[in-house]
Amino acid sequence: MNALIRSDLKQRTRGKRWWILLALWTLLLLALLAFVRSAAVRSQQFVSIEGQLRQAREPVGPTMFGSLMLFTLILACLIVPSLTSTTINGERERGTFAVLQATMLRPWEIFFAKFFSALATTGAFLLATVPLTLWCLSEGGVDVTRVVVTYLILVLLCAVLLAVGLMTSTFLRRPALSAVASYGVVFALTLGSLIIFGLSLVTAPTEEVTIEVRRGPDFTTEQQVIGWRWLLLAPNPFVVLADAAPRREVPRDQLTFGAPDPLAAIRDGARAIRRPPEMQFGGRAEVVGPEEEPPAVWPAGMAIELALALGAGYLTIRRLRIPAHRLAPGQRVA
Amino acid sequence: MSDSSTAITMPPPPSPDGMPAIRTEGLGRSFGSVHALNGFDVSLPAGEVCALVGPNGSGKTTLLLILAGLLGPDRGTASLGGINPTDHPFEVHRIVGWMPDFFGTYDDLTSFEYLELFGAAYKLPVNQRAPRARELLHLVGLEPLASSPVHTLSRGQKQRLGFARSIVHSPTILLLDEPASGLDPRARIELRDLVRRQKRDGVTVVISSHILTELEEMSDIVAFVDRGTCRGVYPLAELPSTSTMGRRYRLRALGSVEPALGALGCTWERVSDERAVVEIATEEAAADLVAQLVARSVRVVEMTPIGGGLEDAFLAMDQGGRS
Repeated sequence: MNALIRSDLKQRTRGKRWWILLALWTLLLLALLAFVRSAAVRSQQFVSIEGQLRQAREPVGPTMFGSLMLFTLILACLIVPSLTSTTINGERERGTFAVLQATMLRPWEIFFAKFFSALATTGAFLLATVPLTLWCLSEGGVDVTRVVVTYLILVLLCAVLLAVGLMTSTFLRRPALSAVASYGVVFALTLGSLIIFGLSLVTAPTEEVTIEVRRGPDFTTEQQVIGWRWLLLAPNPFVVLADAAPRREVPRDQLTFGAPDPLAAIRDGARAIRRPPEMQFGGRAEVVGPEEEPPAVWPAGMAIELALALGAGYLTIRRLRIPAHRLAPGQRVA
Repeated sequence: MSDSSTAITMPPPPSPDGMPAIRTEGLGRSFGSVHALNGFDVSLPAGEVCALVGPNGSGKTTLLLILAGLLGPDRGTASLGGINPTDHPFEVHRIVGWMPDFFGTYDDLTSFEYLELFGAAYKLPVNQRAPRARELLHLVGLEPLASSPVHTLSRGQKQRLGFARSIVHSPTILLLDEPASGLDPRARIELRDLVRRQKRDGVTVVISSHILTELEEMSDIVAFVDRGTCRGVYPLAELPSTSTMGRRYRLRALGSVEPALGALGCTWERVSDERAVVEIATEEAAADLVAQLVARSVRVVEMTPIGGGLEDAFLAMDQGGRS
């Protein structure tokens, strides 16, 4: 299996194409990060310091790092599925797969060899972002734990896309079709989960709730009961990434004037939907806000993602078993 | 052989240890409404080169896929060296080499890396992979191209690389599916030599083709395949056609052949003054004809059977099947 991974990587990295892609990826992220930095520095609020109105100088690290991770995830959603979504049917089409199956390699070895070689390629792309992350760290406001955990989540999310890609390339005979299917899954997880969640709110029942107000009488209003519907948004990779990333510890009552941390913003938004209906109302400052942070969304989201990966892996290995009894229409063994 | 017309069910010659290397019983496999194999029974002796002859679509490739443990049959059983490929595909892979009719190679690897990879895939010990790859490159004459990317190889060279790949693990049974298709005569001769060499090493070789003449050069026995069934297994020397069927010979002489042929009263066709095609029932009659022509002072320079024995047998079977 190691030999297969090595030879797979050798083939992936031989030729200029791969290096050009890697360079483009890094340059694009570098450009975006430089842009984010200049925007973050300029967008700091003006505050009164010693009687004079000056622009705040809070560290821009969190803004930069959060943006970098989101951009990386966006680009990963574009590139990672292509690493596996035509692997098996592509090999079948080129006539290299049957001779591999005729060896002593078990189906699970072939699956994991393809999986890990693609994961190593993904790792190379993520590794290329490390210098950019070091830049974010040098700007301050980001601690190393946050970086390590965020990268780990990124790797896991990419691994899910890789497993799904292997599955589509095993079950669908034509590479073009399996590529579309893989990107379809990416679309479903990202935009799809957002759309479905939004649509599900239309069907959400409403409930009469009493809102406590600090100064003045309480009042009652109709609030939507989101209930279990938060689960529809949970597997969204961006939500999982933002919510799982440890938050920068800022005392609750301390005001911040720096540029926003995009990860924290997504995280707050995602967790807000788990608040009970009486805590959903946030229109007025006098309303008694939620004291405690609602529970995290990412454990459920990550569980759904991992279940998807495990399911894809299991079905793929099962389909690769030999001798084959059922073939896809038009599929040839060799 | 006088009873060759009834030899359709003739058992193959017994192998040294009495056990057939390959045996199938009632093998059936359909793809949708197409019945690729239809109760295929065959028993092939160990240590021989067996030609699997039949028209395209007769089930040769399907049979080899089942024997290679890659395709499950709908009905029937197969066994290679006593192992059922459907139940124990990986045990079969240990002793069986398989070369499909169409295969690709990993174009970005070198020939050496390609064979090394398959050494690993066949679970050869790590320290044996490189020496085995070198040995095989030497065997198939690709040593000078060891470090060339596979995509620079010619078709014949790729075919030889594929052959080397199929014997990486020194199998005792070798299944070759149309190995000679698309090869030039020289490459075919090289392939024949490789196959003969495998036989010398005690390997049982099954080789399929519809290009019949070149199988004749390398095989010991012939199994005819037609519409998913085995129509008989014959030692090459005892093919029914060569002894019972009329054959056509190309005759050429220095000077006119017409007067002599006319006088001898045989069936013939004029090609030119000096050339004719003669129809003769048996090889003995052919030898007699040459003697008679020479006796009549015809300076014969060529008397060649048209088409191989296999070809005739194949056509006879095909026609028999269609009528």
